[in-house]
Amino acid sequence: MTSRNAFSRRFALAGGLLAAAAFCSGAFAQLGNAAPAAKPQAKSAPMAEVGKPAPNFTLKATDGKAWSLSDAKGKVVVLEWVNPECPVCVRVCEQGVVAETVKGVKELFPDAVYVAINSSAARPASLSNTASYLASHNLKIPALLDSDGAVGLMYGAKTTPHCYVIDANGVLVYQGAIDDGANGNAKMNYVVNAAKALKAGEAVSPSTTRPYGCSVKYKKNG
Amino acid sequence: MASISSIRLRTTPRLLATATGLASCIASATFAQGLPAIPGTSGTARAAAADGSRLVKLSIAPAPIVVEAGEQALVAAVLAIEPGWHVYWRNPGDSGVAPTLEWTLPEGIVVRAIRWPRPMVFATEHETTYGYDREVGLVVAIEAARDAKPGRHSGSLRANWMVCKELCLIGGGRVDFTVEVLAAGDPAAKAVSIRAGEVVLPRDPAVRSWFGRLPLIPPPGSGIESVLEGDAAGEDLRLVVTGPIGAFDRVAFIPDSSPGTTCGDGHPIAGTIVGGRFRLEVPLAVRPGDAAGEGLRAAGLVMLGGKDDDPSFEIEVPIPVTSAPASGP
Repeated sequence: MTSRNAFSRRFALAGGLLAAAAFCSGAFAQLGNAAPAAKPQAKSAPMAEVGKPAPNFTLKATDGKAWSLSDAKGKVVVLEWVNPECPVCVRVCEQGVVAETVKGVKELFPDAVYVAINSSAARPASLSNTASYLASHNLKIPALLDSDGAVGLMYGAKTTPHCYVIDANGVLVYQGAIDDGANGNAKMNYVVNAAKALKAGEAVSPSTTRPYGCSVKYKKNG
Repeated sequence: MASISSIRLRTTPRLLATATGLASCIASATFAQGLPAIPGTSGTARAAAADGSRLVKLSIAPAPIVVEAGEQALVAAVLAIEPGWHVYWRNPGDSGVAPTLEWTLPEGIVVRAIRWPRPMVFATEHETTYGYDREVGLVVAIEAARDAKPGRHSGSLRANWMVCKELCLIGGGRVDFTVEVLAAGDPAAKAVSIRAGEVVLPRDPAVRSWFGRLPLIPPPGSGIESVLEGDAAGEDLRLVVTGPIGAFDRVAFIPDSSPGTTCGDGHPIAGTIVGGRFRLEVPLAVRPGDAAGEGLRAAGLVMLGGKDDDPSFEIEVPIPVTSAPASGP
């Protein structure tokens, strides 16, 4: 916690004429011991990039069958990262956001494929609950288990829910939040917005947003 | 201590605009009413919300809030966080959700933008987030209209938060408070506050202690310069921030959340120090179509040193969507 003393130093600084002069003269002199350490670059940058072909992958679905992105060739595909243990994921399900997103996309593209992916390798219970979680919210969509997190890392999935929209030509056209309502107060559903742009033959805008939610519980040291 | 540079106590128009948006968002927020719960939700989410509510204790300082008619008073919404857990900065980073504040205020009293203290950096193998552990005071200015009715009035604050350790929980809390409005010119005002240019600081150390962690807007003469280098239409656009390093041995930039602009890879960028000055180079990627009708900007915090209350500076440079290199303000 910041001390009163620290405030006093600042206060003196502000009350002084020049902030820079004050701290350059050592008024703030102290060496930090909790450095805002710059994070080293990720081991490998995600392969998925908006405007480029979405990298193919194959994962096992909760029904035991293998599912490949290439199986959906020629169709609009939405990938949504999920985690039954994430309260933000639960909220978007319980408030009907996910169901409305699926519906909104399929109204525009009846053959669109909406897929849930769980990369929570650090949380085995999360993986094993994926199917029942979706079923409990009446979401009849394929659920893929990314048990080693490789697909999540390949796509750069940061949060649950983090969404990706792939057009019928296999090009990634959107990645980011499901909507603009991090606190449940959305005005725009970004996934449906992307599908509308595709339907109209227009550029998807926004094509990238900051995803909100829980971090993806990737396997550690992996 | 005759005057305090008002510039460091003022949010930028952009931040105010953000705050206005935030306020309207909060007004329409559909979750965490009263005891934090999610309307229309059941089971898991409600349990999670209740758990998240227990991990953070909300209070407000000072008590009571004292404000002179026609003036401002700075107030801290204090979140005391269970050890090991953290809440988020206005840009949470790779994941997370920033806390929100919803104020219910007496007539004639309005609240301004949240001023976010310098955050900590939480880096793990797979992500970097920004936020606060232990305790944080989100500072706002409460402003009384000139014709605000003198006397004691009741108000309340409801806060919603996402709190994370290895797992995340959402929650919220509510605190009631008293606002004492003093008539303009009431000498009692001097006993509880210090006039400081455009604002009034409370004398209460419980509130003042939070100010040491607030970033400054670089004052004139600070020697801190922010410019764009490279070609806004090209691949090599950079935000370059330079300034005196003082006695510190490190400097880092952390990005704000700016639609249409990506600063580096979103993670902290360390600067170099040469001849008593620091230099930060922040690679920028711009997507004008994603700017949501707002102008593109490069924004973030420059943080000297490594302690919570070491100096930090708000940086914001508009990015012109032209092919010509441009300088910041």
